[in-house]
Amino acid sequence: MAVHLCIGEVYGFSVFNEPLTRILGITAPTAGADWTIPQVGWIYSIALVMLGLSAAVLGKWVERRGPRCAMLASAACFCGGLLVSALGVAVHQLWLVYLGYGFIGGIGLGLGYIAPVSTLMKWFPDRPGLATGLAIMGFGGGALIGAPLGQELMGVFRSPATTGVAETFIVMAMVYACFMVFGAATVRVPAKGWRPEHAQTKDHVATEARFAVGVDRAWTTPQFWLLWCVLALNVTAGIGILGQASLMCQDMFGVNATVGAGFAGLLSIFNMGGRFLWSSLSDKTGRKAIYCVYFLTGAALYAVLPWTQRTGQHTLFVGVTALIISMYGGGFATIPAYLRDVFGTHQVGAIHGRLITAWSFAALVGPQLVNYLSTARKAAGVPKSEAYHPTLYLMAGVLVIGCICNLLIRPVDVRHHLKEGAVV
Amino acid sequence: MKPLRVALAWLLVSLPLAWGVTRSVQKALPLFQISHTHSTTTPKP
Repeated sequence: MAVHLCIGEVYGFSVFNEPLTRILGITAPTAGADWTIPQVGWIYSIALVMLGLSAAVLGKWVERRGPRCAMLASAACFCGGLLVSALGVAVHQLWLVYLGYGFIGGIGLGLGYIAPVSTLMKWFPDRPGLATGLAIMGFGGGALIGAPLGQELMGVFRSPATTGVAETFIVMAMVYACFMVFGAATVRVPAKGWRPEHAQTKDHVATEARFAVGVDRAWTTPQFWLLWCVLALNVTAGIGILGQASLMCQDMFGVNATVGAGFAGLLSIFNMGGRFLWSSLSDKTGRKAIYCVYFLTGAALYAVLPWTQRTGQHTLFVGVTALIISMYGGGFATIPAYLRDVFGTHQVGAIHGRLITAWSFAALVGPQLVNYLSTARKAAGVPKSEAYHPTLYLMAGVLVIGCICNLLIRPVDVRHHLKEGAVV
Repeated sequence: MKPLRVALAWLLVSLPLAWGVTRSVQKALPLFQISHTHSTTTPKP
């Protein structure tokens, strides 16, 4: 959790967007010299793409070297990336920020994201959903710490000569390095075949996956690609709200930016809580059933949102979106346990790493889709309050397709299973 | 791991998280005030 709480800071990176556009002008952007919002927006996008790519490419290395080594490498990349970015801000070179936070930091995100997942599942062999929920809950909570910490630090370092962004990056790199090294030093891998005392009975043993599919074989199976679609569609729909939360709330209900920001913060809490609660619940219901709940309930709730706007029911709107976002988080946290059920524990971290590319894909496509549709509607003269309605219905449809993919998932054919001697 | 070390480890991750949650809830409070006072108004176009 210590590692995920740190790398989850990427979700709160938007607090730096506006200050990064006035590094030279300090109080206001200098036209032609300062960076623009679209230029700065690429930092986050590069980081998320690198998260997916590094998790996919380095997943096998993480499995081979173990979580401690991977977490230390993650700390070095993530905090080193922040330091390179600080240098980029200080000398006003955008490519250095892309290289630092985006490329190097993004590798740290990918390594840190997958490092503790398979280890925790080994510690909770009878409750894999709870295990992955615990780990991935931290990533959701990272923005809750990172965003206010970044704002506080910029406030401390702000002066007539600086926006305080470079100094903030340096302090955050040092603080996060301490936390991540603490996480790496604390993590332990249980002995092979270890089981908690309460899970020694035959019933508990029966709930564990007792076969293994190697990562290179796993991603050639239809099950892998169906799960890829499940994650991609779940993320696309969730990001539809999460990425636009503040603006959507302002447009739909005519509230001011402060209230909109409060709404986005509230959703982050539900995003985090849903990761733990829904994923833990999946241990009781089974993974396929819980994803049906995420998709079908989510689709119904998305279809209800335009009605809450038309009838002016703010509180209901907040409640419905919070529930949707909790299930979005739940989808993230449950997927490693689903992978374990389908492919076994053997290389689940590496398989999870390759599946994370679905997130990178959705993180690029989802917000663009929402932006494009709502902007086109506003340009066509539709009132702002109703501009999001087709997008919300589209998201409901996306979730229905996700449900179909989920229902198509069957156990992997035995010919893909590794022979007993091959599982080390 | 000894119980005291486990407790300390949990404290170390819980404290910053609790701070972040508190900050977010404080920021979200105006949302419910708006919801309460404007629940009968029609949305701005």
